[in-house]
Amino acid sequence: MEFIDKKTIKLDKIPTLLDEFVVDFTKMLQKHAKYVIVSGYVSILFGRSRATEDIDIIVEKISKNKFYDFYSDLQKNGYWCVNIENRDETLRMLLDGFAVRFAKKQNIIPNVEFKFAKNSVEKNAIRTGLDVIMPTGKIRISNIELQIAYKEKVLKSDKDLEDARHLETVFKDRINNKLLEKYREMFE
Amino acid sequence: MNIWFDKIKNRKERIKFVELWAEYVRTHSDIEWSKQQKIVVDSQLKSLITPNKK
Repeated sequence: MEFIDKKTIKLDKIPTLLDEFVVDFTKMLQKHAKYVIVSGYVSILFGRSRATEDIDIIVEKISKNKFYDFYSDLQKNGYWCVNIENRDETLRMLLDGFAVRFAKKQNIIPNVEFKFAKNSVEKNAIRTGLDVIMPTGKIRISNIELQIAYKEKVLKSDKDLEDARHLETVFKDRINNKLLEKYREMFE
Repeated sequence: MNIWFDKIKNRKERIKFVELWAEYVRTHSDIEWSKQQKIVVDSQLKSLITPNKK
C-alpha cells in the first residue's frame, strides 16, 4: 500500500468477495451522499485474516428525495433492505436513529449496516475520512487513528482489540500519535 | 484456576499471531499478503452465506 497524500491510500490488493461487495455498494452510494466505512471492515481491508457478515457505513443525513433516488438505484442494482420492506419505513427508521441493512437480493449475508450520522464523533468520521483506491474502485474509510481508539476504548471485545492491534502494527510508521492519544482520551 | 491461566495464555498467543501477520502485511507487497487473505476471507464468507428463505 502506498500513501499518495495524507488523505489517499493506494491499495493494490487482490480483492476478496467482501471487497467486491463493498466497492459495488459504495459506487451507488457515493452518487447520492457522503459516507464513511467504519469498524471491522477497515481492518479487513488492510489485511486482517477474518471475514465479517456486515459492513458498517455511516452516511451524512440526506433529503427525502435524495434517499428515494438512492433507494431506487439500490433496487435497480439488485439490492434489498433486509430488515424493512417499505421505502418510507426504511427512511423513518434511519431518521429515528436506527440502522437498516442492505444486501444483494436472495442473500442476507454479507450486508451493509447503514445509518445516518447522528453525533459529533460520527460526523467527524465522515469529515476526516480517507480515500482508498483499489484496482476495482475507490472507497472511503474512517481515519485509522479514530478506528484504533474506538475499538480499544469503546468496543473492547477480543476481536476489536485484535483489529486495533492489527491496524496499529500495519500503520505504525504512518500513525499520527498525537491524534491517536487525543481520540483515546476522548473515549476514555 | 488452570482454565483461567489457559485463557490468558491463549489470548497472549493470539495477539502475538495478530502482530506477526500485521507485520507481514506491513513489509510485503499487497499482492503477496492479499492472495493469502483472500483464501481465508472468501472461505469464511462462503460458509456464512445463508440463502433468503422468504
